[in-house]
Amino acid sequence: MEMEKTGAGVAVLSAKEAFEKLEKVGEGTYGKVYRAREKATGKIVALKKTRLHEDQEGVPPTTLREVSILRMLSRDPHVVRLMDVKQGQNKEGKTVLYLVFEYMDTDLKKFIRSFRQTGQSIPPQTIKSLMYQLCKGIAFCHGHGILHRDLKPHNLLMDRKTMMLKIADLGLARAFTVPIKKYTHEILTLWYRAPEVLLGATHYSMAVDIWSVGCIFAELVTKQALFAGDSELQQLLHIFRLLGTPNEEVWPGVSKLKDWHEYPQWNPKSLSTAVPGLDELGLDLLSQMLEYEPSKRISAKKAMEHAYFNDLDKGHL
Amino acid sequence: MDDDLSSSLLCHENETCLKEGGEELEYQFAGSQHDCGVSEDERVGILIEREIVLGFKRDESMVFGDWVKRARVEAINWILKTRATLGFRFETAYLSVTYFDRFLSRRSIDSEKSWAIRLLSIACLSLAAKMEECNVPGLSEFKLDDYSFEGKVIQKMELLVLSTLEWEMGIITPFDFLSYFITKFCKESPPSPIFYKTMQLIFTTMKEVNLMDHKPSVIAVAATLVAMDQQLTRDAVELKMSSIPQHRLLESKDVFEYYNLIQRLYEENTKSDTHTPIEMTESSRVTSSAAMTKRRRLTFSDDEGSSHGKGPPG
Repeated sequence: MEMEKTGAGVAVLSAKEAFEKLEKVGEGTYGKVYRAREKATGKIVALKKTRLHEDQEGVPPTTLREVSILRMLSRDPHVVRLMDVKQGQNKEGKTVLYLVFEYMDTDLKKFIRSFRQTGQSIPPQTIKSLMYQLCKGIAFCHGHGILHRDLKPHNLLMDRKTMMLKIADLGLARAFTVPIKKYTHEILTLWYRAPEVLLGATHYSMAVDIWSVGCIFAELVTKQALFAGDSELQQLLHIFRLLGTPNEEVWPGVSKLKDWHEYPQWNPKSLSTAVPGLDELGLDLLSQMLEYEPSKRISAKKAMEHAYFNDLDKGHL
Repeated sequence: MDDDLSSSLLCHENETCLKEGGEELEYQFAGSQHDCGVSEDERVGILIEREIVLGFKRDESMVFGDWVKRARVEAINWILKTRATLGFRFETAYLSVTYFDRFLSRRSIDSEKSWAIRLLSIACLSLAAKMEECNVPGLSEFKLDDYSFEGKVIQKMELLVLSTLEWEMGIITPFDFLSYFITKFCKESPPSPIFYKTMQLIFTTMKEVNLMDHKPSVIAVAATLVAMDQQLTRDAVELKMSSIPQHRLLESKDVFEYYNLIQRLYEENTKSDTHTPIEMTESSRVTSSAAMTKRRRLTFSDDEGSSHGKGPPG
């Protein structure tokens, strides 16, 4: 990674001097994201501007975690590459950080929307390729002890020409170690949130990411979110309607989770009713990603070895 | 976790708590709920490889001077005391000392700038808390006895630490290895007392050594072995280590050297205090010649870069 050196005697260009902003392409909690041109090379990059607006907070934890995790993971082709971190000041004299990323021209949310708008299906081999890349990227993160915790189509960047997929937005990512730490459960976009998190589990593991991957898999096939709840309760009920209301038999310990209540009793339906058009092998993989019991959920590494991917040319991925 | 690993687990307790001063530290041992498709052996292999990238090795040209050593002990005492006050995990305190040592291995601080060491310790603990803790307090919660720093000054120091460490903050510590080594070594012993004792040994030696000089895996193995048996010969250490699939990645010479260092410090502690041979000195206060003076405020002047600060007025 070409991180800037800030040692004595090294002249470092400020972000304003080094880049020409071309357009705003997004906005996050801490600031805006721009498409920009690096003046020295003409290279197009994404600039993620982070305001350090709170003197009492210092460097935001999300920025700190995102950058330090990307420093560790950025060499993987399926994790977005952080090229540099630049420091500057805004008009009010406040410190601003610019994270300089490689530029990707779309994300999976926009990609799915474009197919939904034209009424076309995403080709099965395209889905397979994207899913394999996603599993590969997540396996790399998990192998290095990192949980993403906020996987959703919007956080998966793509290059339309090469169909390359990259995991981004690691602001909520955490290093997990064994021991597993107690994590806050106020994370993750509802639609992709694992049931153990919705039920208040504070000890959780990589399985939360795999649940999100399963939801994304189904969405690639149907072009609709699999479980589109507008509250934590509604989200759980959406899940229970399809997969059946869990109990101690299918998920030992579920009734002891902090937010467990008595829920309406539904029997599990076949996944093919919710994801028509997915072949048998795909449905088998999806069912393993959507296992209720976190320890039974397939790992990203095992998912890559699933027979669903057997006919995929993995050479260039 | 792979079946072959599950069957080889020697300690079958899922969770053990380290009780310290009435608080509980949850410590969950390796178990099937952590399956990420990577066996524990592979995970430890990845960590040991990352240690090499992170540059944990003794650099003879980089030896802390006497004043830095003294200031460092004071900083560690403050970090441990503040860890207890703010309810942070022990791992957070250790990580902050790793940042502290890493920073001082790359930048020097003039001996008359004791305020800079204080500021550095606040920045390191604040950054470690942001990496490790779920609830991070505001910068004003990090209080010193002898100086008062504004939030924006601490923020500038945080940024200096980050740029000096090149934002490489996901640093490995011995705690990343503990459950693995305790599980491999403990056989019939219940892990809880071993774990607690190993923690104490790690924290005791932390004050005496530059953490950049020793690989965290080496510290973890050596401390675990001392916690289990203080009479091991070099051959016995090598024999114990051979039970670890990743033992070829660990230098037995380094492990035995650190084992002896812990032993020596353990004995010194035992002689100096018969009641608590190894004590986490979180209750000890920061002592310094400036501690008796009134609080003084440090501000960076606008014309200075974030790497320098004006000392407090004399």
